[in-house]
Amino acid sequence: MTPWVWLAVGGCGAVGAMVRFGAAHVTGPGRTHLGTLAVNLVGAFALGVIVGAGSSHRVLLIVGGGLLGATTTFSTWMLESHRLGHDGRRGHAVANLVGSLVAGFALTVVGWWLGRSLA
Amino acid sequence: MIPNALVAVAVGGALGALVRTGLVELAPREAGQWPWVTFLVNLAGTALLAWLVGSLAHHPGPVVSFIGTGFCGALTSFSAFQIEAVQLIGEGALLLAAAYLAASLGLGILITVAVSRRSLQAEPVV
Repeated sequence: MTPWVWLAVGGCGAVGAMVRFGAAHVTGPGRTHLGTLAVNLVGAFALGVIVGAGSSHRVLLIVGGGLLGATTTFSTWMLESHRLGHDGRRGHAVANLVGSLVAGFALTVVGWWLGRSLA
Repeated sequence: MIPNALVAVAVGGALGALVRTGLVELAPREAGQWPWVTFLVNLAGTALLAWLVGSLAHHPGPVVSFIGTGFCGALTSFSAFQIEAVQLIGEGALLLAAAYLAASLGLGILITVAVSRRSLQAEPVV
């Protein structure tokens, strides 16, 4: 892999993190988990598409690892779920955990299938 | 004028994405194998974020934006976690896929609860 590929991974990682930050700002205080949910679901679907389409190793590194990997997050998902429970919103916390997991999985499968069909 | 927080998030995000993608490239997953790199990176990033936010609860600012939202957010990945479960199923490792999803979520939330409790009791670190 050339240094340019890694430069692109870093650049796309920066863009992905800014998109996620922006999404949390749009949904606002107390509802940042909805912004995280949105980017996580869109990112999981998009990664399903590019993997399903049999993209090149380079595309998987830059778009999959860099852009979509950084746009989506596991740690913030965990922290925000914990916060919902800590704030007495236990139902929301469980829904955020299970809902994200199930919807993310389903969208990844749909994306993968769509990518394979289009390729 | 670009806010400082956005710059901190971008730089942290670039570093997090490079570390995760670099580690996956160094130790790629073989078919039917547990996705160790994403699994460990997700849990380590989750622990670091919980510790950071708990410790700096009274001092939000560029450090949380840089290491928390930027680095930990991008180091850990929801999309990689999900595609690996789908790939495991495609490779016929259905139980491994289910165990990977359950273990990541279960350990992730346990670590967050445990680390948050400890760091909230500790003196804030600036």
